[in-house]
Amino acid sequence: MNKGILVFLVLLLCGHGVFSQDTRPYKGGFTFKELRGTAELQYTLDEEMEPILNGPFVFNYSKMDSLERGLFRKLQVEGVYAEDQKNGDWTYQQEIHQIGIEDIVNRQIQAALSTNLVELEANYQKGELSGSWSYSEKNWQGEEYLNVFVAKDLTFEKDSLLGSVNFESKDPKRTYQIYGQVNKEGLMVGNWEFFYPMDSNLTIHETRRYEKGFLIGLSKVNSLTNQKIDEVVFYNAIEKLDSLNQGFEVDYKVSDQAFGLIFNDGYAESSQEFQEQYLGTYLLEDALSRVLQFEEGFFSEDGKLKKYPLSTRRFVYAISEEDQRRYEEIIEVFDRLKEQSNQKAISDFLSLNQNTSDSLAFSGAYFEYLMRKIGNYEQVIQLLRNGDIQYFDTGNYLRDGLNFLNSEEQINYTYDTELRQKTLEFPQLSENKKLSTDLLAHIQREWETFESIQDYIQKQQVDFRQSTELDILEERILKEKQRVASEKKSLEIRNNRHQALVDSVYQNLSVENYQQLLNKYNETEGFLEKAEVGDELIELFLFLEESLPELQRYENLGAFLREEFTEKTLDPFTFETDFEVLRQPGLIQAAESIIDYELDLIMRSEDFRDVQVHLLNLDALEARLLELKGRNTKRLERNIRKVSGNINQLKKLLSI
Amino acid sequence: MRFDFLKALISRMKVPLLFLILIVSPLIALSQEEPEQEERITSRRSELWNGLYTKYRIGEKLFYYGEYHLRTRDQLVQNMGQIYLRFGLSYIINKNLEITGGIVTPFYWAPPEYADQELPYDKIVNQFRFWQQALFIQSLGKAKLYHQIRTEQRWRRDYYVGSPFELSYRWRYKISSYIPLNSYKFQPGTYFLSLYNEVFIQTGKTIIRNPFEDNRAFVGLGYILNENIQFQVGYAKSWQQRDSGINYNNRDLIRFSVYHNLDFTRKKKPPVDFQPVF
Repeated sequence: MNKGILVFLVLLLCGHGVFSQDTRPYKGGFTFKELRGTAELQYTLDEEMEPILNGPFVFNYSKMDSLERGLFRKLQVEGVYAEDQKNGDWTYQQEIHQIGIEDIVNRQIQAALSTNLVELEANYQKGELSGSWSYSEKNWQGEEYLNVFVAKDLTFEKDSLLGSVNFESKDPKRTYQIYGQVNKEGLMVGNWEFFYPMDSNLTIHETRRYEKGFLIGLSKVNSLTNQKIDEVVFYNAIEKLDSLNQGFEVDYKVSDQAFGLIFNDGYAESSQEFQEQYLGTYLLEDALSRVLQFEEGFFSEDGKLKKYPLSTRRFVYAISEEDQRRYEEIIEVFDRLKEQSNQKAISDFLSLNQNTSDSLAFSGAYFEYLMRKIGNYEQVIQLLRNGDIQYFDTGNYLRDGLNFLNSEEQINYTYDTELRQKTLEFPQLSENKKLSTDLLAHIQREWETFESIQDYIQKQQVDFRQSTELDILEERILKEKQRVASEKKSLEIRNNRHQALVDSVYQNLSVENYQQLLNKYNETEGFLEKAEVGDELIELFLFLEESLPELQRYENLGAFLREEFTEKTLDPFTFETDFEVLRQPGLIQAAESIIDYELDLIMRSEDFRDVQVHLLNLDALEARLLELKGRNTKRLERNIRKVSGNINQLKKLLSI
Repeated sequence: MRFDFLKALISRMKVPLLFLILIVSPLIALSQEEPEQEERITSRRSELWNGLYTKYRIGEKLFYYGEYHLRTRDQLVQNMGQIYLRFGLSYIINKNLEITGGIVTPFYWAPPEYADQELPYDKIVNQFRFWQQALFIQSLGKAKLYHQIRTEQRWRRDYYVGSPFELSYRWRYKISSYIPLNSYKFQPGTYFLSLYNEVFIQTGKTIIRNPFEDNRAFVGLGYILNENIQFQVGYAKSWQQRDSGINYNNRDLIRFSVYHNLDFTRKKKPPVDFQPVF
């Protein structure tokens, strides 16, 4: 009996300690795949008061598309979440109706309606794509639905496809059939067949041969006549695989990592190996995008697939320490080049003064060239930066990928209505072409050229700019500083805490923050950068002018809210008619904790923008409390008590 | 110089002190009574009175009133005394006047001396009463002065088996005061001095020798916990005249009272809770 009571008490206490574990039902607005519809779901709250979906989930969306006239979209989703992950069977049904009003006769709308219906039966295991999937897409034609795209009997395991893959699209815009196999590792294996029309007369039958994710051959024939159109044999990859199979000592191995749909052993986009894969891969990507369209993690922000349920393999190449050092140097020079060339001061200056001399006209044209060149560098720099260069055969890559590394660059420009030209010299690529040394030599020369032109422009800037502008700026900064100092003196201090708050804010911002910005101002050389820091200094003092008198209100905010929430009532025992009762005390206590916390941060901050944020937080707190005044907040106050002073959780509970 | 604070205190508390003297003087008077002219038999005992007072607001000015008392006697807790239930409806006419009416159903336990009686008696005897009350409230500085006039129509009987219920009337006047000690007015957290003196007069066919029934004087300390709950603890001296006219009870009462009030007129509003943004 006693044990029973003990267990009960323990359970009761546990229950109190972790109120966030309580499952709460929710029915209301919900955003699913960027569509704002309604959902019915259950959730718990984690320690940071973030909702964790748990339990059945139903989502409905139906809305006329605001951007595209006459497009009506409906989406129904049903499934189950476990610990914020999709789990078990899910169904998706999407209807897109295109309504075209043709006429209105006797107040009757005559309209054409075309409908696209997507039905997906999916399956998940702890958030991962799993089990059997079936996808179909139909269009309403005449009196019935006709299949547009079908992907039946797909099997997923741990987010990857497994076994036979079969996609069939009858979409007039993209008609194709794709058949292939995926092994247990999610790698494309065996023969993959692609059928797609090139034009009204020619349908291509593309066959690819994959060995554990390595593409070793690709052929394209006319599907009617079997006449060969193109063929690529990836000898290089075959040789490497042979060498590895025979156990030769080589500086590469098969990577453990899986890669996207295009097999790439260092092929630049312009290479034949890349180009020949492009069309089929594009259609495969289209098929996968349709099937995975309701998944969040598979698409990037621009709506492109970024994660694939089937993969290719690559070789991974050893990189020597010297090469690694060179790669790092290349990245460093590139970043410097990009940052320095992007200075607004220079582009502003050039756009204003380009036509004042031959050299400045050339400089303007040079900067246009440089912007283009930086764009060219981006891809290889990205490979070096993210380390993907280790998966590239640099020999292959140098063949097509660095074809912008010319030994001469002609810069054409116009000065005084005359077309002129200057040539920039760059080192020749070495005979045996080596990515690290050739690219480093080229980009270093790029930097030297840029630096000399930048020096020239900056000298011109100094001459051109009116230094008086800075004098005026500096004078104003000092004036504002004095104004703040005299304002501080004239403040009426309410109490010790107000005094401490004013003193700290003044000391931290008007003295410390000012000094930091002043140092920055003195260290900055360019006029526009200097002016920017100067403007920030003025902003600092304008902020202080505005906020110093307001500090009294913030210091008193807790007392003000307490007073606002205090009600005078009649006590029926003592008959005190001014019996003061604090209503919603949990809210006030939470507000006081947050106010103390924010004021403490304000008193310690040496950055006026931080102080601005804290003051905005206090304003938001005041507005929220006044919004909650008089409402039934008992449940909210219970939750507030349970988070026991954790400021972040208190802020979340109060939606600040 | 050393007694400046006392002077200041006395000048601030002048009016409350005057009433304190008025209220407490019966206590002093009782202890200094002149020699009796006729024989007077006085029994002395101590009692513990525990009470819960409730006031539940059910209309803008209308309250349900309830008192629930448990009283023990003889060395405070040796014998059961009474269970005493008072119910009523209070109407606050204005901030200076409240009227109340209702019923009382007390249960009296027979005093221990009945055990020596030969006649059979009931161990517990109930009563039934109607009661009416007017309460006048006066503010005196930060103190409150209350004049309470209460009338009761009592149907009561003796403990002997078969005793009939007989009607008598009771007339009560209580002057009381609450003086806040640590704040300028009554509010949550206030400690206050509680004083009263109440005179009980009874009339009716059966009342022959003791129209003066009782005088109770009380001094205690109160504490307002919050809007809903208050406490009082204190000492009361009760001087009762019994039916015979020569028998008196001199009682020392320790009182512990809890005051509870609720407002049922507040409209329930839909709850606001933390709602994550989905």
